[in-house]
Amino acid sequence: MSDNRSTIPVLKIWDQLLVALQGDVSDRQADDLSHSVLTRIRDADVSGLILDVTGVLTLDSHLCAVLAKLAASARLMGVRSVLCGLTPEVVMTLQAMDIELEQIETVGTIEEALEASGIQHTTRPGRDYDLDEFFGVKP
Amino acid sequence: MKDRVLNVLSHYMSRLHADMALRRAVAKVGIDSRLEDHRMYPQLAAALETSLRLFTSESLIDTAVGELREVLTPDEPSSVKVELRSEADMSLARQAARTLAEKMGARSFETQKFTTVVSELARNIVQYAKHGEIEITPLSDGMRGLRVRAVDQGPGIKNLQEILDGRYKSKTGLGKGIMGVRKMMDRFDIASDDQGTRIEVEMHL
Repeated sequence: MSDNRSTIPVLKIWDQLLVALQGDVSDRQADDLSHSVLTRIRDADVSGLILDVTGVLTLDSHLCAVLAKLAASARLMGVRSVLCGLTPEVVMTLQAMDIELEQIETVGTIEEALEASGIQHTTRPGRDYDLDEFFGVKP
Repeated sequence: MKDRVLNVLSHYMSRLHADMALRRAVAKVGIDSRLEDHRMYPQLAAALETSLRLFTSESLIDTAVGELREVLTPDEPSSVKVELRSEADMSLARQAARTLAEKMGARSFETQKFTTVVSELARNIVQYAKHGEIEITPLSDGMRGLRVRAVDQGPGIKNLQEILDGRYKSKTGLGKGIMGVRKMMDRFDIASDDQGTRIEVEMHL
């Protein structure tokens, strides 16, 4: 259980802000988050915002509203937001409650969110030298 | 819980046998594999006892059965009351809801639904009435489920009928919360006047 007074960390990866919400998110934490994210957007060179809710215990109407509002505010500041990590339980609950998150773009995982913001995953090449050549056994 | 049961069993049989015995017993009584449903414990203990008898000598069987029953004592889910004065209490209410739902053997979707409902009710109290309480009680009258009673002495919800008819579009989100709660629960009662609000909901499992 997360501490109510602690703040949710906002990480910057290249030009993306990554926020991973964890555990029980209090209203205060959610409100603080909006403020700190928008401040970061103002102060740093940011072109995308990734909101990951994989670890969130309860995503209720208020938290949804906060996230939707945050995404809308970020858009006003020229930053695109992507929501990821909605679990089946959370999705079913949101459906049952008729809460729509259509204002935010959603993807499955953080990887997909990064890809959606144009960051490509490439495999590191194995070696940049030729072993055969190194040992002088090249035919 | 699973580990604790396996621990007892492996005093009397090999780990492999213990594992198989537990699997068979779980399948036989139809309890969830994580052994979360406390009300099934007596049946589970009885099913495991049969296996214990196969592996345990006459002189040890009573101790073995005793140990097993001790581990598998159903932890009767009892009602929880959370007083709500501040935002931190909302977290407590959610936590209590989650714990109790899990103890009652609710599936993960039901637990999520229930916790969300309690969160909405708690927020209504803290935001609009400032002070109130939420009581979560396991249903007793032959029905498996949970009841939530949210009571406050706040100013009441003035446009209740409008909200319930779905005509109310709120800026604060109150309408959405109440309608959502009503949609998700199996029973929904609300009474509100200038003396306060009283909401009672039930989720059947």
